[in-house]
Amino acid sequence: MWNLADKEIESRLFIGSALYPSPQIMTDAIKASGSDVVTVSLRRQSQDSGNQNIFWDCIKELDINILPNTAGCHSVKEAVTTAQMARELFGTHWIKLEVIGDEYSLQPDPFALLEATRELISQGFEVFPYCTDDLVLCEKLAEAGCRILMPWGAPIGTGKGLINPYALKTLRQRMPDLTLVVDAGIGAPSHAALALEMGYDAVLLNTAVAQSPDPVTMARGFKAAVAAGRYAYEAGIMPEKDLAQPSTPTLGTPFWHQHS
Amino acid sequence: MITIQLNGEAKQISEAQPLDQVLNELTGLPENFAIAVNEDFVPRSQYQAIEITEGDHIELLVPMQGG
Repeated sequence: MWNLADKEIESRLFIGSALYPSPQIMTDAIKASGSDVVTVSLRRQSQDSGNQNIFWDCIKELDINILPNTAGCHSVKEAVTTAQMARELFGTHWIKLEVIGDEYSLQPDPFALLEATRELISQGFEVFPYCTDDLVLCEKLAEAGCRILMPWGAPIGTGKGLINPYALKTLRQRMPDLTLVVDAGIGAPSHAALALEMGYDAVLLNTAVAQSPDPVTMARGFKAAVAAGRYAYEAGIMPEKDLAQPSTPTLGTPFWHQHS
Repeated sequence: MITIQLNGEAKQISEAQPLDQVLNELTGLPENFAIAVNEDFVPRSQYQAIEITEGDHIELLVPMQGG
C-alpha cells in the first residue's frame, strides 16, 4: 500500500477511461489493470443518449478513486470552472489539471497551469497538474502547494515512451518527497516499468491499453510491468559498467591451465 | 420569448426565469450533471437564485470518458 493524497491505495497504475471499443471492454480492462484510480472528464451530453449514462454507471460500479480532468481547457478560467463543476459532479476535490497551450502537441501551457493551480489550491482542491518535465515549472508547482506532479513522458496519445529520461530523472532526484507520476506518452509496458525503475511513484496511461487490439490482456501487461518496475526500484538496480565481468565463478574453471 | 444558448445551441424560453425553472422545462435531463452559466460554475444550491436572461450561455456537463 502507498499513500496518494491521504488515501491508501495498492496499485501504481492510474488508468484512463476513454477510447475503449465498448463500455464492457473498458470495465474489464480497468479491472484487469488492478488500478485504484481512473480518470474521467466532463462533456456536453450527446443528443441521442437520453437521460442514460451507461459510461458513468460502469465507472461507479468499479468503486475506485475518480480523478476528473480538465481536458480541452485552454485558459485559466475554463480550467477553474471545469474543476469546480467536477468537484460537485464527482464528489471529489481531486482534479487532474490540464491547461493546453499548443493544440498540435497538446503541450501544457506552463504559465496558465501555474496560475490555475494557485487558484484551485486556494479553493481547497488537490491538484494533480499535467505538466511538462521542466524543473523550474515543477518547483513552482510544488511551491504553490502541489503534493503530486504529473510530468509527461511524451505528448498525449503518441506512445513514444519516456522521450527525455534525463529530465525525468532530474525531477525525481530534485524532488524526492513529492509524489511523481508519469502521465501521457506511455505506449508499452516497458515504458511504464522504466518510469517505476526511476523511482516514479506511478504512471497514468490510457491509449496504450484502450487502443490495443486486446485491451484486457494489455492491461494485465501494464499491471505486471508496473509491479516489476517498482520491485526493481525498491531492490536497487546494479550500477552500469563498461567492461564485461563474468558472472560464473572463475575459480575452478575446467580445462584451465597456466599458459607457458 | 427570449433566446439563450444551451451547450452551444440556441434555445427559446418563454421569459427570463430562474435556472431551476429552465431545467424543469428540459426533456431528457441527465441524472448527474453540473452547470456553468456564462463560464461561471453554478452550484446546485444556487439554481433557484440565479436568473437566466436573454443571451445567457448555459453549459450542462455530464460524466464522460477521459484520459
